Amino acid sequence: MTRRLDVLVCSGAACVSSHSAAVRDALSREIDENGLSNEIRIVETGCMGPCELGPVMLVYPDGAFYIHVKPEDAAEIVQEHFLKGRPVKRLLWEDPEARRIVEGKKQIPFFAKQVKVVLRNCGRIDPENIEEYIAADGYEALGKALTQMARNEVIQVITDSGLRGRGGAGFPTGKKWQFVASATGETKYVVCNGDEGDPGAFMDRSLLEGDPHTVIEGMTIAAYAVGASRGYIYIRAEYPLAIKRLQIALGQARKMGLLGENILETGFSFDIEVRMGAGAFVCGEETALIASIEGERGIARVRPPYPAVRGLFGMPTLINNVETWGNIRHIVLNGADWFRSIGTERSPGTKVFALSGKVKNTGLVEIPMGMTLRELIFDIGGGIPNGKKFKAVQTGGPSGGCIPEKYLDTPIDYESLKELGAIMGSGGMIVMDEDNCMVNIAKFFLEFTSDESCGQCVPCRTGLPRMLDILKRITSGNGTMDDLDLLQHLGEMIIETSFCGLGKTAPNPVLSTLKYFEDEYREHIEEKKCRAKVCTDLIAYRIDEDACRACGICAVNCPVGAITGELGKPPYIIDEEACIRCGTCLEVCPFGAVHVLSGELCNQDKREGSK
Amino acid sequence: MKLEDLRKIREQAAKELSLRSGKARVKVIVGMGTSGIAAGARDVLAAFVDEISKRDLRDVMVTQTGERGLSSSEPVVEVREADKPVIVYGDMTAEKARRVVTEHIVNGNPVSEYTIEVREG
Amino acid sequence: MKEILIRIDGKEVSAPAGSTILEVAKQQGIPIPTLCHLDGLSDIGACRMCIVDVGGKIVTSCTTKIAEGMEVITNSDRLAELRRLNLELIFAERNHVCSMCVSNNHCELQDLACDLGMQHVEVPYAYPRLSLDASHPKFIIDQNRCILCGRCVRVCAEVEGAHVWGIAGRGSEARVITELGIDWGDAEMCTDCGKCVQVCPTGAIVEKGKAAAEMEKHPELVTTLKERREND
Repeated sequence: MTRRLDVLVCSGAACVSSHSAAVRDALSREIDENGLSNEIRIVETGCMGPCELGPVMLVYPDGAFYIHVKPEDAAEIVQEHFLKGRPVKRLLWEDPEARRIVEGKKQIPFFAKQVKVVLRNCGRIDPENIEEYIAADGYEALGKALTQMARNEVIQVITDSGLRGRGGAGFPTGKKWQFVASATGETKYVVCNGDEGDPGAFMDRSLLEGDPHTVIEGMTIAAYAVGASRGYIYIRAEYPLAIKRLQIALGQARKMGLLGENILETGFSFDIEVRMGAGAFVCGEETALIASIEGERGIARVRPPYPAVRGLFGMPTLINNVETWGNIRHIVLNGADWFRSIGTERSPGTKVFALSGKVKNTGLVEIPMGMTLRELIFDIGGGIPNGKKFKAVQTGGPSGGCIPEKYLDTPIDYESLKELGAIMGSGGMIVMDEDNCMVNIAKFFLEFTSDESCGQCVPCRTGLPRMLDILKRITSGNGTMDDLDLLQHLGEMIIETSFCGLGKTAPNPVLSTLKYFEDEYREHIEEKKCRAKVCTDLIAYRIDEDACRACGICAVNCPVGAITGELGKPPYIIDEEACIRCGTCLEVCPFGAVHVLSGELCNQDKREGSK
Repeated sequence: MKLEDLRKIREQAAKELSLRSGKARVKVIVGMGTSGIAAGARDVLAAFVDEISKRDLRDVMVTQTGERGLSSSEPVVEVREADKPVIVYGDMTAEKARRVVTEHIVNGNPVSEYTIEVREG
Repeated sequence: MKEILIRIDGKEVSAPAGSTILEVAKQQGIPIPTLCHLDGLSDIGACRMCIVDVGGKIVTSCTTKIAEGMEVITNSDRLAELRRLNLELIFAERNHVCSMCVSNNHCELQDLACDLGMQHVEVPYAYPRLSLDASHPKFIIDQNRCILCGRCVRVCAEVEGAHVWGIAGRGSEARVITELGIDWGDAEMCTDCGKCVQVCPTGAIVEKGKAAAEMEKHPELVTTLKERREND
């Protein structure tokens, strides 16, 4: 008897964190107990995308998409759906717009507008089973390259496809391959840059976890094209699941003769080693990554010579990002014209984004280039939750910029984003609403980059912390209008004079917020006001005398005992000196009597208080 | 391993993935509501799955649905094909199921004696 | 060796292929401020003082090799401003108090500030709390005055071959360290040669027993040494 149902349980890191393993175990128990183990198979897959709805699972052939599944739901799902064919409606994805239950995955707007190329197998196959990958046309592109294409033909198809580096800078991939192919050296290396370090970004992790063979196949094709014999996958040690699945995949590929000596009996040999990084952001910069693989301190090196000429261990080295590698086999198999039919003229293909922040559907998405920010955030992302207003979107992580509402119709491609002072980056996309303070956001990113600066060159090592000092001054109400000029000067200077890409982009979050949200900076300085009520030094909590019922809940919950009053005798009063502005009273008050003020009544005593 | 060997592995493995392709020429839907199951729908479903896999019919998808309101004719099975009317069979058994596979699904001739309803897809 | 033609500050000059912009400028008598660069040591481009304009792009002249037809500008208002701000950042990073420093009047950092006309520091000072290691019998390393130019690291590795000095920590936590962060006095690899003292551009690595303004250094010893070794 063959199977009639495949139950795909997402085991991307986000779903694992929400206990997908327990769900899997419960389902498997129920399936056994009902004697269905011959008919139904549970497959653990990589990330399916809508991480915030996890644990998620997908049932084939009907395509029912379950969300927030708990182990205790297993019995009902097996009894009702697997046995009787009635999907458990309360656990199916509900389309928030249409207020209706969506049974098929294809009808869900989150998926409908996506175009899956790189993530095609993610959430669809078992990443620990090479046969499933092979079934999904796996290693066919490698076979095609090795048996039917000359080395330069492989490079030509990549060049013709117009694929650009997905790490963020967008350098033409074919050109890079050509450089390495024409460089001379006794050994050549192929490196996969999996040092994904942007806060909130998990594109590379998801691909490595969900479909490791795609990356391995892409690298092997490149190795053949440029004449390399060894490869390295540099990946953060903080990604244990991705490392485990990569190791399994490498082992399986070697065993089947798809990696190692004499691949597919064509005489071509290539092998890959996994190197773990200790999680330094700067090691995503290619020369620092090379230094780290060599066992040196992870700091950027002088370019030129570029890694294509003199890279790892002094040899010509081809470095591409995980997602770039994920595109290769599809281009080799389907051709350059097919690839160019997706995306835009100058930015063909798709891009994977990790959508996060103030958006209903957070998660992993893949879209054709050229889609507008609005479509991505509002159609796929489902817009801003809780009826709040959109304020900005940050692309490119700490190296990127904040884009305001008026540019929401900008198409997502390398050039358009750059024009706005943001960058494509590796795919982090953080949505912000009216509750986000833009000065605070800039401060957050700068805290990150100053901490992650390697410390080699002056502008980055000492310039970023000084910019941070100024931002702290502003958010604490001690800034002056001269600070804005100083921030601008410093930012431009750091971009212009820093050693490597980290410093050359780190001021972007500050410069872009200064450009688009200068009024918020001004308010912090001139009115001591934070309109989003985020900057704790500029806000005060007050209890509205008329609304207070003197229930005392606020006083009981205040962690520092700053609220006093008598039960039944309103109002309770907050001692502003003692208050730490944690917001607990606001959350617990049943009558909405607690208000947050900023720049209004509280100014007078606040200024005195800070002295 | 040579490229031909890889392709052989793919053929084998592709069967494993066929359930997830969503592409099927014929869809067999077995009513698995309480009354359907009571009337023996489980055996009917099993027979369909078994026969289809024996014959290696990879473009046929067997799926199930709930109560359909035709309790008196349970087990009820629907066979759907693109651009063809939907054939609904009633009072199915395992044997009948095997015959439907042979005559209807393979040879394209619906078994009229089991048919209880024909409607436009 | 092949000669390459470039234009530097409007003047056409030729120099051997493989020369850096800084080397060519020096030959031509064009001054470019430097800090981490030292003749005789490898170049790392860390201090960013020697920046020049090549076709509108800012690059460090110590690490950029000349190329045929290159147009180099070594001084402009913009370059002066960038260098001055860079220098201010160095001063603001640690605790540079010239009047109390043993290297007062013999300090490359101080000289640069005078040369570039840096009259005050506009950026906020960091005032970090830093340590001083006086465990070595002859020398002292005072982190308060270190500018992380890495000359000590390079001279120790490239000329003395002892590899005592290194850099640990990231960003503003970066520090020069002896061996793997042990006290200098306990560093068994140290040969007590004192080359690090002589090349240190500020009062960070100094001889013991010197009072304010008494510590004179001789970074040119590296080139002399190298020349002698090559002649032997």
